[in-house]
Amino acid sequence: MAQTQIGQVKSQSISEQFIKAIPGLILVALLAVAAMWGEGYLKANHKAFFEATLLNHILLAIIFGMIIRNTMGVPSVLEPGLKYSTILTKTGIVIMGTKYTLASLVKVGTVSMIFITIALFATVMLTFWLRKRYEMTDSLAGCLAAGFSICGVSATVATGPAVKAKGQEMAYTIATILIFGLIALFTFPALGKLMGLTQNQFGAWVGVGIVNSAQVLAAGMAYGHDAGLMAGIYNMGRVVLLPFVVLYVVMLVLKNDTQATSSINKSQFIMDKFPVFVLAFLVAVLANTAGLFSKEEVKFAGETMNWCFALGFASIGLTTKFSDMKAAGKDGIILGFIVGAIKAVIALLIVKYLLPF
Amino acid sequence: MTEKNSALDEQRAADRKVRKQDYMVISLGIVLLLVAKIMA
Repeated sequence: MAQTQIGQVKSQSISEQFIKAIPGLILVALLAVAAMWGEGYLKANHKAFFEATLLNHILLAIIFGMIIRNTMGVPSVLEPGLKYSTILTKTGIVIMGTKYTLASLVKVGTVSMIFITIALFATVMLTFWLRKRYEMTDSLAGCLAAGFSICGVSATVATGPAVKAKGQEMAYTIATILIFGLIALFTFPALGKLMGLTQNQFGAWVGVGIVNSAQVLAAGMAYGHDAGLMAGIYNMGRVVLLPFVVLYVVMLVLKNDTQATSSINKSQFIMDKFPVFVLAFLVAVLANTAGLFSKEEVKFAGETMNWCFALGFASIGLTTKFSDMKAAGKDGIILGFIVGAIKAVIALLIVKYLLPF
Repeated sequence: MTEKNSALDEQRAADRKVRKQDYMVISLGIVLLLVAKIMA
């Protein structure tokens, strides 16, 4: 009897929560639809502007949400529906696994793969080594480390929930990465010409030196067709390593956490905090590698993933206050730019003088 | 000692909440992947 009453209270609570969330979820859905439509509109009518700014549905969803939050504000009745960003983005990550195969790694080649792997893990180590000199949370450092080592937005999305980063910290990291990438997009081709890089050398350089996938391909194509193809291959090799680097970043963040609580059983602590949804992502990668998904199914899954991200990032935008970003300070931007610049210079020297092209 | 245990309990409760959320994400992800297989 008592258990039935408790069950009723729990189910009432869940149903009440759901009803309360509906108005906010409607706003989130409207923004996601607007972001999807906005990307399509820009691609169809203002292609040059779209290619220059790379305003895809994720960025538009964040921007629309931030504009509403920081201009007219969000009524309190909508707030309960804005708390599902983590579930939505994590679900998008699980589905994202269908976009990758282990076979795509082979295409890149052993030497290139070793170069990419060292560059990714060294970037994470460099970020965590330098972060001691700056004021920031472990979760923000984790987002910056993953974002500046792998493929920008996707890596930040994959790492953020695992290290319990706030939506604002993820938005802050994504903004830092995209500003860095935008500067690189317009300066790297000129630097490549100045350094006398071949098409393959330049493609490999931007494939490691620029973090956002779209910006990598744009910079490569700006240099030439072959450079664009090489940049695409390097980007694929990097993307394949996303789960491993995310796992490494999560372990580094948890390690810092463990030091603070040295009396706790460390292995148990890591087991308790291990983000099990990352395993679902890996299973999706392996399932795709095993051929369990057809091309049409992967395409449909990709569209579902885009919607999950659009909804999740609309929620993030709607909960991002500029006053909170100011409070996060400029240390994150400085650290990100230093790490990005060091990685780009070292990658340039390795591509120019060491790699066999 | 009691304060320490209380802090640990709070931390474990927070971890359980995140783990529960992860299981929801895995379930939702599997459902959406199945939908992709059926609808595509």
